[in-house]
Amino acid sequence: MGLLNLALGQLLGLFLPLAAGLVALYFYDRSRRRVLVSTLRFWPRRPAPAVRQRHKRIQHPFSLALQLIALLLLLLAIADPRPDAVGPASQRRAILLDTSSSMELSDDDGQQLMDQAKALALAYLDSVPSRDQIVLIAADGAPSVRVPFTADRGQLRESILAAVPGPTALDLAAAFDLAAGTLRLALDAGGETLPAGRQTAEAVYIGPGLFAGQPIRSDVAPAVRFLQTGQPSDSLGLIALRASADPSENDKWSVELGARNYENEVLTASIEFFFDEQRLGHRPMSIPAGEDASLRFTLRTGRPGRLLARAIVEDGHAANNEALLEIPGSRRTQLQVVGASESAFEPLLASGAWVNPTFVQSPDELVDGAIHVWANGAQNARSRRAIYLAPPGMASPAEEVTAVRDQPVAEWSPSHPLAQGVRDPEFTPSRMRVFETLVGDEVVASTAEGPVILARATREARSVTFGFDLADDSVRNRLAAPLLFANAVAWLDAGAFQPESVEARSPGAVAIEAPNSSFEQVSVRNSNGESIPWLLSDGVVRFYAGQPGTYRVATADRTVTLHLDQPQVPAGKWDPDNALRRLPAKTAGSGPPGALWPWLAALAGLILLYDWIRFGRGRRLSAAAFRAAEQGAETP
Amino acid sequence: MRAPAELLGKETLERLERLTIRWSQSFEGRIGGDIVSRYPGVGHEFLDHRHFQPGDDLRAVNWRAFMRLERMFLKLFRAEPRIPVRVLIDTSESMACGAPRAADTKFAFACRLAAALCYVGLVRLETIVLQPFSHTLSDSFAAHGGRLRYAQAARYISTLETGGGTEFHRPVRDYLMKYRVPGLTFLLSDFLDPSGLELPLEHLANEGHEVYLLHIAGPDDREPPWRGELELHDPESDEVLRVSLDDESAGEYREAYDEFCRSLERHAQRSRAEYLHISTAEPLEDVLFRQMPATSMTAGRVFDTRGA
Repeated sequence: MGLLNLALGQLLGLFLPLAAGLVALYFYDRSRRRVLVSTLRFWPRRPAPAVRQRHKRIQHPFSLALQLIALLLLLLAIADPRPDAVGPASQRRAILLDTSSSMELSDDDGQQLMDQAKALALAYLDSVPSRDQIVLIAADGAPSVRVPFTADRGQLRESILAAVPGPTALDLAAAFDLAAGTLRLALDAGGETLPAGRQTAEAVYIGPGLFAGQPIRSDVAPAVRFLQTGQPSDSLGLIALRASADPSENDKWSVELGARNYENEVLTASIEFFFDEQRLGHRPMSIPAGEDASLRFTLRTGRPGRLLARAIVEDGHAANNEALLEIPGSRRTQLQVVGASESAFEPLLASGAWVNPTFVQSPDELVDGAIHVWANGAQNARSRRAIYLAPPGMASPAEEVTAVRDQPVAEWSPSHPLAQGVRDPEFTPSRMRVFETLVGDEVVASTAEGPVILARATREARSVTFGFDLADDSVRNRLAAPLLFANAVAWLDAGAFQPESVEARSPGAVAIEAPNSSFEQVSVRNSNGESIPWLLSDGVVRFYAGQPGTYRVATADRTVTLHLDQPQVPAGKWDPDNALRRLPAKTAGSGPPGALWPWLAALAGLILLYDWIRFGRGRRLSAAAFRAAEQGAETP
Repeated sequence: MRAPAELLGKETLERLERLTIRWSQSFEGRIGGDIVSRYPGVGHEFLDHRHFQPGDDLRAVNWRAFMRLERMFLKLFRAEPRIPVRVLIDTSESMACGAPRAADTKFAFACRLAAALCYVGLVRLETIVLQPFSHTLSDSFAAHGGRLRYAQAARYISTLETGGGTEFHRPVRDYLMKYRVPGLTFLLSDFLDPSGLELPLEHLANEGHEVYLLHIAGPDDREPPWRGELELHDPESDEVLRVSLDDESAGEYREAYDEFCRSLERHAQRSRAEYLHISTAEPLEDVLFRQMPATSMTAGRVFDTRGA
């Protein structure tokens, strides 16, 4: 017998003072009280009955005993004694209820795996002793404790019934690590592993056993139980759909589709592709048994749209037979050249395919969003993003100090992005203007006379001022000229030459290659523009997306848009050798806990009622009623 | 125990102005109190005029003189012998019992009832004699001259204290010797005199007094609230009685008390007196405006409400 709410000492500590108070009240009630009355003439002057004289101190000891017993029973009801607490010490158990995306599937009989897992979990609760402390862990991509260690079966049942499949695949190793950690803390085991040989802890996994990531260690818990549900009837799953813009050619996308075969034999499926609900065509795909395969093709489109890949197979998981990708529209940097011919600029524009140049003769034709290139001899003006090529002295954004002829550029600023990759010691324009630098000007290149290329960045505008004409015959055919021009365009428009790709995959842990990126050049944002935590290590950007959605990852080399809406598919199946695979046999203390307190409280109430009728006011009332009935019967 | 400082509220006093003390038997040659006739008062024979003062009775204003002189003069009449009204207040120790709170005791209730009788009489220009007693007569107070004198009477009542035992023979004998002119006598008491009331009551009746017995009883006097082992103490005799009180004993006590009340009523009828049992658990207003006007059992009524 154990007490759930009170220890034995607490019970006695409550009972003894209350019993003493009850006895004191009893004696006070039975003690003679002094009363002031108006007269004594009406009071009956007769001797007290013999029974009252005999029990002068305690007139009704049985009544007092009954009241003490009722008090003890009421305190016991508050203490909530549990007869099933008899036996060895309670065990600690961890239930790992699979809530991964696989649990949304149904088996061959059409029964959802989540329902099967809930039924198994409830059956497990009923089969273990009710005194055992159980922790409930929701096992998915990020395992978490749903109910901490408790013997309250009602709370556990409620949480089990409320469990729903999540969007991520099962990280079984993390789930078992969490279970082992909680068991270790509960058992107060200081070492890394749980005490072996003592059956004081058990971790039970309930699910199909399909997991992603690393397999679990064998010694994670002293006792592991695997209550397996049915297996999903899934034959093929599309893993990822990726589209990368071709840097060499505009409006050209390289599309790659990954798929996995869950069958034990080679699967040949037809994949249909749609763009904005228009069927593009289909491609056959043959995937070896239990392996992955990919399919690549080229998509040419200049407008944004939704690319849909659909596998023509019939299985129990239709959600992973489709993959949807949003292709952005073509992104070109508008370049407007004022006062120069197209032929003279042709070598400079060979740096990339994403620059769309137009040549205008009048500044009135300029538009605000474009990069303005003011060629030699053109009228000077202010633009938000501008490249000035040998601007005239009076209208130059930088004041000209002097001019030099046939002198090579002596020094390039190695840290400035404009001079990145430029190492031409023989770069010798025929004529160069030397500028005076102002506050905020950055020197990109200089001669012995002074700076000849200046970069200026303010909050509203950016400009690059060349002291020479890049389209001049003396330099335009050199390798450094288009590189300088491309660097200038890239500095003015950060995304001008960055390759872009979009990708549809599953939520969870995401890794993006970023070999040349530093911490300052990386950003990871969700669809609301909010920055989410990420980690850059070994040239790889890693972050965890627990919820489906669109995420944008920018690195130094490229921009990746991730549509994490694809159902995550497991990579492996857990098949342990040393795990128990059936429900434990029911013991004497298993099942719903037996609560004695209502019976104790009812018994105390009955005793008090009997005492009231037998010795209290109820006796007088019943006697008065009897006398009234007698008198009524005698009255004619 | 002292009488309560505040006896009657303003609203109660306003309601009391509608009441009048009535009597049933005839008192030859008298219409009012004991004041000698050389003083002005309520009568039929004109005596004099004087200037009107605030608080004077407007019925006595000489309106003809006012119409002629535009000044108010009060007509004074020769006072004629009136029927005396006397209130005997029991101040014995037993009057301080019967309630847990001092404000609810029989004595406090009797003081408030005496104040109400006094005010009703003063409003009707009667002369009221307040005569406290226990085993002897104490100093009395005569209130007369209209409602303005009520404050003095109330102050006198508030100075009363309980003390001594209940006895009627000696106080009644002294009373008959002190007040030889018969009149209305209100006797406010719990009547717990062990020697009985029969003989003193006969003496009062034989001397021509019209007696009203107002039996004031506390709630504990008839229904003792205690049970179990009790040590009862009588404050007047200092006698102690140890009893074991249960419902059966309480029933016997109640029957004895009821028999006592019935014997009082029988004595009152025999002596042509009015008897009224008043419980202090009931509101004083209920006693004044409902119970006392309803006691016209024979020839008269204690109060005439006259539309109250």
